[in-house]
Amino acid sequence: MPKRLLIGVLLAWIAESLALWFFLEKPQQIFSIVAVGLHVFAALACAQVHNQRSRSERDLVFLMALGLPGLGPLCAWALPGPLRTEEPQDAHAAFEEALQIQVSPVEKSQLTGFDAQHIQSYSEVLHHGDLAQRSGLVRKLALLGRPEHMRLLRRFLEDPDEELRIQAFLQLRSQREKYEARIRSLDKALPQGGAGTQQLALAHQNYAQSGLLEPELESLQWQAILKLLDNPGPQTQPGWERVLLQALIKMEQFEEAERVLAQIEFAGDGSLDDLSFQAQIQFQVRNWPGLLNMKERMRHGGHPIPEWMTTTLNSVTQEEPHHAG
Amino acid sequence: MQDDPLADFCLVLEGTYPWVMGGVSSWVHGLIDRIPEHSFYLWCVVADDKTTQKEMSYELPPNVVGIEYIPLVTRAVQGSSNQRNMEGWVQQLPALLEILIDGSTEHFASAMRALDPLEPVNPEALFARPDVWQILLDIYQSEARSESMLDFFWTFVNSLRPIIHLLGAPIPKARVYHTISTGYAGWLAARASQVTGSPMMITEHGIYTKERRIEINQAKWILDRNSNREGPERELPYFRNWWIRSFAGLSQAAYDSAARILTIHYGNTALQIRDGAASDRMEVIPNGINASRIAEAVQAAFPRDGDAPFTVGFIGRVAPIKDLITLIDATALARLQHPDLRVRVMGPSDEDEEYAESCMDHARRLGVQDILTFDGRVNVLDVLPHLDVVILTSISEAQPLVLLEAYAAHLPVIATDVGASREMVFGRAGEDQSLGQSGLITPIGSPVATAKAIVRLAKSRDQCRSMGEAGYQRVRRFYREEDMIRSYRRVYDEILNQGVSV
Repeated sequence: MPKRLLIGVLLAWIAESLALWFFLEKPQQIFSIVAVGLHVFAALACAQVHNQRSRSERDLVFLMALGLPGLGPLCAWALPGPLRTEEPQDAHAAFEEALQIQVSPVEKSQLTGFDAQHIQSYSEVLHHGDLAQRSGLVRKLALLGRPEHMRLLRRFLEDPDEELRIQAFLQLRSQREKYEARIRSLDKALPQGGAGTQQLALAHQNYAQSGLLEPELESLQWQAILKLLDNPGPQTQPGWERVLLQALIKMEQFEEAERVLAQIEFAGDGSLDDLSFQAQIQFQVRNWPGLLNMKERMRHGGHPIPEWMTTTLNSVTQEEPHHAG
Repeated sequence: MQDDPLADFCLVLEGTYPWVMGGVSSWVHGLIDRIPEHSFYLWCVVADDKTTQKEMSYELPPNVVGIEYIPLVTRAVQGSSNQRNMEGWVQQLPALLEILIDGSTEHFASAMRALDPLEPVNPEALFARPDVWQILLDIYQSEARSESMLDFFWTFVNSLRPIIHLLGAPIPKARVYHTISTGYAGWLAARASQVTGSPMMITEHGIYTKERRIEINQAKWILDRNSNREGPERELPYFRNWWIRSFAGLSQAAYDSAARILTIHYGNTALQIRDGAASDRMEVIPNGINASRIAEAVQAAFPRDGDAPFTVGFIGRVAPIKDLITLIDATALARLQHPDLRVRVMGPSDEDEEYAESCMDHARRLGVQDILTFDGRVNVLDVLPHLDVVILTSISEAQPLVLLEAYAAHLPVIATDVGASREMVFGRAGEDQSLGQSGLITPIGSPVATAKAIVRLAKSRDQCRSMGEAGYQRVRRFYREEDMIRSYRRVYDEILNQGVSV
C-alpha cells in the first residue's frame, strides 16, 4: 500500500468526520460541497491506484475493506476487469446467415458487432481460410472482444486443427481471467448487503453476458446473482433491479420476474431506454399483452418502434396470448 | 571444450532437464538411466543465468560425463572485435538470414563450417557495423517498407542475437548429437553435426514450431501496426510472420541435418512433415511405462471401499497449461447430476502459486471445496487404487504418461483432445483399435463436455470396468518401457555404426 495513498485516505476520513461535526448545523449546501470534494478525492486516489495495475487490486481490496462511506463504490469502479454493462448486441442477419449463428429476434434487431461490409470476408476466412488466416481471425475476434465475437471464438475450441483450438482457448482464457479477477476482488472486499453486493452481482452479470461461457456455466453466474440479490440491503445502486430481472429471466423464473417488474419504479419513466428494457422483459417472459402495452407507450411517447417488436406482435396476434410461467 | 571426455551421446536440451521438472525431463532422465552402457554429455540451452543457479531437479546418473549450459539472455557476452574476424561473420550473415527469412538451408552447412574457425563475436558489436546496417536496410526495403523501421530494426536484432550467441558456443565432443527438440537446441545440434561430422538425431515430444506459432500468435509484445482494423486479416502481420518464419527456419536446419527424426506419437508425424521433415528418416517410438509395478500396487490395495463416492483423480502440476479451472467448473456442473462425487487434484502447486491460489479460490466460489480437494504431491502407487477414473484437462500435451499409469491401474480416463490422447484412448490401428475404447475424449476448455463425461462414467460402472480393462491391455501391449528402451538402443546402435552426418 503506497504511504501517500494511505495518508490520503486517512486524511479524507478525518476531513469527512470533521466536516460532519462542523457543518452538522450548517446549511445543506455546504455539507454537499464537502461531501462532493471528498468523493472527488477518493476517486483520484482510486485512479492513482488503478494505474499501478499489479498492485492496484490488493490496494483497492484493502481500501474497500476499510468501509469508508463513499469509497466502496469508487474502489469497485476502479478495480481492474471489464465494466461492460450494456446488453450483448448481436448480430447482423447477414452475419447470422453467413456464419450459421443462432440469435434471438431481439438480438437480431441490434447491429453493432461486425462491420456489415466485412461479414462475407469473415465467413470466407472462417470456412475456407488457411491456418495463418484462421489464426488471424482468432486474434481479431479476441481483439474485438464483444459477446458475439466471444461466441464465435468458442467455436474454434472444436476446430479440426489443434493449434487453432489452443489459440482460441488461450484468448478465451485471457478474457475470462479479467472477469474472474474482478469477481474475486469484489467477493473478497465487499461487505454483504448494500451497494457492494450489487456491484458483485453486476460483475456476475457482465461475466454471464460476456459470451465467454457455455450456457450451463452461464447459469451458474445467474444463480450467483439471484443468491446475492435475494436480500439486496438498504444501499441500493441505481439499476440493480435490472440485473435481478435478467437473472430471473435467465433462470426462467418468469412469474417472479413479472412481480419484480411490477414493483420497479423506473427513475426515468417514459424514457426510450426504460421502455425498451421493459419491452424486452415482456418479450422474454412472453407476456404479449404486456409487450403490446409497451408498444403503445412507446408510440404515445413519440419513440420509434423497434422492428423486432412489430414483427413479434404481428406473429403472435393470431395466437392465444401466452402468459409467463 | 578440448579436455572434455568424449561422450557417446551429447544430449542437446532446451529449457528442460535437469533444472526443470516435467514430462520431457523425466523422459530424458529415464533414457539416460536405462541405457547405462552409453555415456552422455548434457548441452543445455537455458533462458538466462538464473536458471542454473537453482538446484537441479534431478540427480544426474553416473553415465552423465559432463554438462554445459548456454543462457539465451546473458549480460556477460564477450567476443572478439578483431576486424578480420568480424568480416568473416558479416560474410556469413546472408546465409543465416536466408535460413531465418526464407527457411532455405542451402548454405547452412557451408556457413557453419566457415564460422567454426572464427572467434565468437559480440552481437552488439556486429550490429553496429555499417555493412550489417546495409544488409538490414536492404531487407527492409525489399519486404518491409510499409512497416515501422524502428520495429523492424529491433525485430531483426532480437531474432539474430541468440542465433549468433549460440554460434559462438564451443562444441562438446561427442559421437552423436541427440537433440530433444528443434528450435535453438536443434540449431546447436545441427551446427555441431555440420562442424564435427558426427551424426545428429532428433526426438520431438511437442512440436517446437507449433508451440512457437501459438505463442507468437498470442504475443502482446509484437505490434501489428498495419493490421486490418475492420475486416479479418488475409495474412499474418509482418512481425509475427517474421518470428514464425525464423523459428521454422531453425527447425528446418535441424530436420535437414538429422540422420533420424523421432517422435513419441503418430499425430506428430504429420506436423513434422508439414514443417519440412523428411518422412524416410522418421520413426515413432512411443513412451512406455512399467505397468506391472502399478498393477501390483492396485492388486495389493484390493478390494476398494464399496461405499466410497465416485472418485475422479487429476494427477499433474497445478499449472495453467493443465487448465484446472475447467475441471473445477466441470465438478460444479457434474455434481448437479451426480452428487456422490469426489475430485482429487494431486500434484505440486509451487510452479505457479498465483494460479494455484486462483484455482482454490474458484473452487470456493463455486461451492465445491467440500468435494474437490488439492492434495499436493502424491505417490501415484498410493492413490491410483483409490480412484475410479483419471482425468486430464490439459490444453497441450505430447503423450501423457499419466494416462498410461491409469491404464496400468485398470482405470478409464477422461482426456482432452490434445497430443496423443485420441490415439491412446481409441487405439492407433489394427490390434490396438480392436482392444476397444479406454476412456472418453473431450474438447479443450469445455466444462460442460467434461462434466458430461464424468457423469457418464459415474453412472455406468460397467463401462468404467470395460474401458479400464481395454486400457490395461493397451498399456501392456503397446506402451511398455522396455520396448521404448529397446527401440532407443537399436536406433543408437544404428546411428553409432553409421557414424557420419547427413
